[in-house]
Amino acid sequence: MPIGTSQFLPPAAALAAALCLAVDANAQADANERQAQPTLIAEHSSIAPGSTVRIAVDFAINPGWHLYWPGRNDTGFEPQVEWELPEGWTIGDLHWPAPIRYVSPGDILDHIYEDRLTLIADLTAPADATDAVDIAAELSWLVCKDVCIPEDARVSIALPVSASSQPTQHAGAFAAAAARWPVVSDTAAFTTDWTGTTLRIAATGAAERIAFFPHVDAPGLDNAIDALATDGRLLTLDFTREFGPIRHVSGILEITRGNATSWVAFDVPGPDAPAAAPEGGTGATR
Amino acid sequence: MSSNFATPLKLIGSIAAAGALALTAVAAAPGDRYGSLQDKDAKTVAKVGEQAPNFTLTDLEGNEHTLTDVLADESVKAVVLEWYNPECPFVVKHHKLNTTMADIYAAHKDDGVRWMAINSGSPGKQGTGMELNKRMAKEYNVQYPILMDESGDVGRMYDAKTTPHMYVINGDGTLVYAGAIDDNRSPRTLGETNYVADALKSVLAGESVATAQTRAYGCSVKY
Repeated sequence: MPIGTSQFLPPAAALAAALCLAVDANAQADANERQAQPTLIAEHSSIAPGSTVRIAVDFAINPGWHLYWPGRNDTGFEPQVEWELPEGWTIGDLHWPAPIRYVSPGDILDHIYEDRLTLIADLTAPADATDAVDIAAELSWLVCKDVCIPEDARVSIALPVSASSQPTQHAGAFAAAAARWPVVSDTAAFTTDWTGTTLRIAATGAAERIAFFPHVDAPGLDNAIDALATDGRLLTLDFTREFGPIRHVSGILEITRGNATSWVAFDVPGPDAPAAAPEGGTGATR
Repeated sequence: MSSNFATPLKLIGSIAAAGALALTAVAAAPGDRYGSLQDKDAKTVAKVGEQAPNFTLTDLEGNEHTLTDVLADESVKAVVLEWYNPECPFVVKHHKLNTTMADIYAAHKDDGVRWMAINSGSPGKQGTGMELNKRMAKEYNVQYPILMDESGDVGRMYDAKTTPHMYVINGDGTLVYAGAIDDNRSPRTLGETNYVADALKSVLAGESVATAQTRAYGCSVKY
């Protein structure tokens, strides 16, 4: 943990850290000093043997600070989660909500989370589960505003094993996070059209704004910062082969219609897609 | 080699023009989610495979460094530019948690490799100021010049987005690599492939650089 030295912290925190380091050089940052504070939460009060419930790593992020989406960003690094599960228990992939675009001086484009990030995963109990279970996770993350700080923590939750269960006080956080999950296979939401290395995306129907958040394996964009149209339903993306062939383009499409914003999973074949590739992909090419 | 730099004055002139434009660029506030900044209209962006744009910057001891002058030395086979902010955790990863930069430099400094760190942070922002940079250079035991680019003009000219953002220029002045130092975007864990070490080996062997462009990672340059 040598990263937690004083020069990366604001003065007050640096002083506190210095006092802390005087006691124990390996001491972790006190919870009160963290700019993002994680907890493990469960959607329901207990889990029945053989069943699946949703649990989440829930970050409360201090005002002005942000965490990173694990897609294409110029800077940063997404939170890392390492689960510690008893034998026989399994957990699914993290569901990442749609992020927000964040532009810094120098045309630096990132996709981030502010205020709160709730990363939901499906926890499945073995059929012979009894009593209660302790689920833990080792977390490390980078939290930034004008400066960045690497932070880490170990979090855990005790969950009773029981056939009867009711929603917890955290049910609202689960619903809020799930509302920002990109909708998969919503092929009616948009159409696409390639001309050379230029991809035109049209949101179906009227729209005020359309933005594209590229996945990390999406091909190079000439100017990722232009992956946004604020003047309607059409978005034009100019790709480059500088980073390799344009086999497919995947990410999240954010479409704003009136007061409503929706997020659609986007994955269309590119001009360099293998000839044998099936038409369409999960997104629509029509 | 010097014939490649028949027009250094002209190149410097274009930089001056870019710098003047940068002053008039409208800078949006950080967190302007839906705006596009005007910076890109104000810079001549370095491109891999083309001549690296020239610059003159001053180091922490007050010495001027001009890229074309460095390259005019026949013994210079490659120049590495490392965008740098001593307080960025990703710079800490490669200067303190590990000695990535120092190790590569030490391995090749006698092979004609010159290395220059460039700090394009705007005055008052993180990692800026002469005193801090001198102190941190000592702490990290940096053996090569750290150049101050407070206007950010050279950073914008190279489209440097992160610290560290790495560039390798061959002895002919051609930009042969731009991107990340290695293939692990974590602020802690080293990658398995070090792109800069690989690029330098290729340049020194007279071979073309296999991976000439990657996506840089790190903190934002504090323009």
